[in-house]
Amino acid sequence: MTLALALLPLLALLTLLAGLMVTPVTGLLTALSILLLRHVTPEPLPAVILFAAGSALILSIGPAWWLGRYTDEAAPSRVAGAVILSLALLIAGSLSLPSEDMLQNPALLAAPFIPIDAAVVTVALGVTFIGLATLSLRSGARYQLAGLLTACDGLLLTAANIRNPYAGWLIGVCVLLLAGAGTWLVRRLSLLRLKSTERGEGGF
Amino acid sequence: MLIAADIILFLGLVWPFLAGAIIAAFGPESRTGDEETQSRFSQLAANFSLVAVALAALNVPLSLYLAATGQGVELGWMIEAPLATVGCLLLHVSLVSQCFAPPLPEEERALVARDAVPFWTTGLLALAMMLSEPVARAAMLLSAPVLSVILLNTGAGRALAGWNTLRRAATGALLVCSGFLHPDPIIEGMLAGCGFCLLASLFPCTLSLSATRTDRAGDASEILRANAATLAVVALLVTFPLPPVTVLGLRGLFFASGLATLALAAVRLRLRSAQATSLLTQASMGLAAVSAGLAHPLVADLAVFGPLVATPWLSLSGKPNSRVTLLADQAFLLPGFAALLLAVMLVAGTSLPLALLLIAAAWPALRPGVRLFPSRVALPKVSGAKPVNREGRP
Repeated sequence: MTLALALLPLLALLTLLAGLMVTPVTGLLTALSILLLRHVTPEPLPAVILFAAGSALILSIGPAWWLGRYTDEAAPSRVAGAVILSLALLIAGSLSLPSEDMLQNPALLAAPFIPIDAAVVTVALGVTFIGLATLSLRSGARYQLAGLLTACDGLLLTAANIRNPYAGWLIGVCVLLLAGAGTWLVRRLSLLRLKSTERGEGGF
Repeated sequence: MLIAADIILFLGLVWPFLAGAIIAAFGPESRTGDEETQSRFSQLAANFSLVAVALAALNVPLSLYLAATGQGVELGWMIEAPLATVGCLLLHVSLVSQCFAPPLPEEERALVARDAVPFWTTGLLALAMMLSEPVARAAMLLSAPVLSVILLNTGAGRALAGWNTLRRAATGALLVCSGFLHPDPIIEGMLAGCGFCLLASLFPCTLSLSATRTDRAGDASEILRANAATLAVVALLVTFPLPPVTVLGLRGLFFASGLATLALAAVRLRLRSAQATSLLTQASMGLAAVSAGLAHPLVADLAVFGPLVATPWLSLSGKPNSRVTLLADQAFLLPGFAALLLAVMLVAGTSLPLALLLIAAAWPALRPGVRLFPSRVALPKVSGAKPVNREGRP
């Protein structure tokens, strides 16, 4: 387990509190982890892995840069539910999957989905869970978008972890589409929020 | 014969995208052009949807014949199962119903491609029925709502509805994808089941939605079609390509979630706490999920058939004594009722307590319906939807 991989769940938990500020770092670490997964094999990286890493970088840096101009909403934020759910899911995810003995009996595993690194499965699942909990329970569209991007990072890591990463293209394209649509919608929401607060302060 | 079946299948899969592109190209002229152009293009979408449903209907006997003779129905990246073609036919019939329904009051700021969006989403969902890879199916099921959100929710003040739809669909689809990529079959089944429940907006999503939902009808029908297609795809998935342990988890989760959805919708119908149309749609969806949990895809298709076909016509219900309204009510209710009877029968064959549970879940919705049934003939005017909604009793 590399340092980048170990830091990923921590950063995903930080996303709950800090929102889009953490997302570029998460994407960077995800891309690094995706690239480092195959550092043992001597042959050059397949194109699908490069694509997955590139899309992880794009989808984490692009929205954060694009939405940097808009302010957060002033409404009080609800964090507790998201934190509790994500911690519970994280613990359940790591408990349900003892990563040590998972590769011991490959007869149990579905044949095409043998992972390269068993630890990555748990980490990626945890990152996805935290992102999805943020997306569904945290208030505030920008925080929810940060959760969506984190979950996309986790899914990309999962897809790249498979020995035969045929699903990487499909998942990469889907995730990019999702991030684009989400950024567009959240940008419109942020615009609306900004206008309404200005009008409120303007003395109406 | 195999060649002909392949060609028809290919045409059936490609045609919605092609038709949508043509409609999007000629759409602006049909709106803003002069009288002659308008009359020439106004029936374009309806005729194209008829072609699509004809192709889908041709697919069904061909795939049946191929399955009976044992010729190759697997083409590597896709599987042409007879049940999948039935699901495609269902989606295309709903497309025809939407294209022939009277147009709704439209928003000026909606994109000009609005007429083309149903074709594209139907094409994507039909593709989701046919693809062989479960991950690819989940991706197609995600892409249809995303596409409809991008293209339909462009008007002012609609970003929040679009974002909520996107949140639900993205949560479900990401869960499904990470489930299908998981090496452990048990966790795969559980994750995929939870994700599909969210994607089809079953029990956990129905808790808060129906009270405040005021979606524009075009958008709502897109969501409904995506949900129905998700249910049909799950009902297909539990029959064929997954390992048995995964299927067991998926079926259990779907049965439980569908039962909860059905019971909640039935109780709400009894209490009349929300609009009856959406509640009955929810109940049908729950019933379809129960049938998917029983691994009977045809019953699931039958359960979603009513809402899919009748929903575009229910907006007419303001018009009193309209034969179309009465017909829409029948089409809304009868397939669901037949599906309920079939599901109870099938459950009772395997386990009596589960059958009793199913009956108990559906009971609160049935009782007002049965009691108020005669007033349906006397008062076709109040057919806001169905007998259970008979609030306007004299």
